[in-house]
Amino acid sequence: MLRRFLYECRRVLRVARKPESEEYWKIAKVTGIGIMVIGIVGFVIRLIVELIGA
Amino acid sequence: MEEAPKSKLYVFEPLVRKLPEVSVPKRHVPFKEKFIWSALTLVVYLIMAQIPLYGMAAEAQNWWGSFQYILASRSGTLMQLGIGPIVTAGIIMQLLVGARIINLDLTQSRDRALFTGVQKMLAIFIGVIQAAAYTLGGAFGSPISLQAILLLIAQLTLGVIIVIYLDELVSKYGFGSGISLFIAGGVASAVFWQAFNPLESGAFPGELGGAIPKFFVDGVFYRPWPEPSMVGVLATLAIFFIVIYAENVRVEVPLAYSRFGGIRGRYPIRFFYASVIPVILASVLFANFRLIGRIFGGSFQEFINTYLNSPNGLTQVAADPIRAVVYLVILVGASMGFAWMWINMTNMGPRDVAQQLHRSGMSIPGFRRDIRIMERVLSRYITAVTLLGGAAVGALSAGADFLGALGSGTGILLTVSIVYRLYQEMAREQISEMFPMARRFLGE
Repeated sequence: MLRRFLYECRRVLRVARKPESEEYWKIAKVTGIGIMVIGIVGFVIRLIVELIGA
Repeated sequence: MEEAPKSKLYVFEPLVRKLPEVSVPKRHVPFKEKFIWSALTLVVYLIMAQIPLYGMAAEAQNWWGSFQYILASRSGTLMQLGIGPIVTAGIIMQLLVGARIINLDLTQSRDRALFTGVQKMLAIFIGVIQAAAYTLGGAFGSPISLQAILLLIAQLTLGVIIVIYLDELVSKYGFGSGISLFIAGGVASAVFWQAFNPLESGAFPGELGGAIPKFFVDGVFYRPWPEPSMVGVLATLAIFFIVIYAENVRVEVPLAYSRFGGIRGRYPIRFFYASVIPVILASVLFANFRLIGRIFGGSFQEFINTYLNSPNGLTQVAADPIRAVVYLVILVGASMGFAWMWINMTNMGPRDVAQQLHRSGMSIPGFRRDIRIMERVLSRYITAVTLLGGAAVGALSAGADFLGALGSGTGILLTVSIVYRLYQEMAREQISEMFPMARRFLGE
């Protein structure tokens, strides 16, 4: 049964559609910017708090 | 029609009715408004995660370890408990309904209102219990006066209640859910803080806190956990790119409409079919074991803290490689199990999908139009994808922790996929606003 499962896994990975390079970079860019915006807001808030507290 | 027996849970209905609720929007909430609500809520959360608790006798202890990230918790602040109580209440209620211990039909609006109401009360109740456990357990130092104990419990409970309502606000008036927004907010801030912190490290005076300042000032590329280093920064970036890739891998099952002269279509099954939920469930489970371990102490606690807790950074992995392997195996196994459980609980299993497709008049070309055959064909794909996806998510999370990724492996995994989905939802919303007709196709 394990061998059958592994066979199915290989087959599924082979037929899977992988992202095209253009699409991939677009998504990476947008998601990256989103995380950066959230991260920078959090960073600034924390920096202000730490500087006031110090 | 015979009326189904009312659930025993209805004894809570009068109480639930009295519970304040964020009212459902009566009209379509425009894109701009949704954006403002989400952004505002996120800022409120980030500020609350900086407000220190009043009345602590010593620096707050972090009982969750790196699980704090997925619980959007920050030690010593109003957000000490984070979304822990909400998530725990949610899991308990889902399990009770899923196992039919509570007999509620969630397609009925009255049952659903009762369900969410009771879940909210349960979350507050769990919040009070956890607040008391933390305070009495000495997480804020001991000995501590009775006054301070009550004050701390009140603050923590207040934090939980605020989070519950912020979550409700975002779910109804913003993008995604508050819970996911808070996790992303907490992790993204932690990643940026650990990478760029220009100040001295709190734990080691005289040592620069941030990985990048440290690298440029002292030329240090690697240092052991908990101090962040460039190795962690690179691991974080690597996980980011891998997750974006994996999120976009999908298996497409060919389909044909039996009507409309057999138009061809495809049913996409994403590689992360159960998304990152398996790792969350596994982590929440491990985190709860951790708390139970605290109660029992001794070798049981030691076992849990060793094998159900990821080694952080290369130094810890090298010190005890067996621990790393055992943890990896347990996490991957648990993730596969939870992935399987999750898709069956949320009607994403082969049978449910086959029924949906069959009902909309689709079949798989080359096969007889029979729901059982469809189920069998789908099952071959779905079973493999679910288990593989679950295993991949678990392995990625563990691997990131081994490399000392900033904001914890699970944290980054979650944040990338949360922000990616947020983007998808916003893009969809924008399209549907530009082309109101499209709303129908997008199922709104």
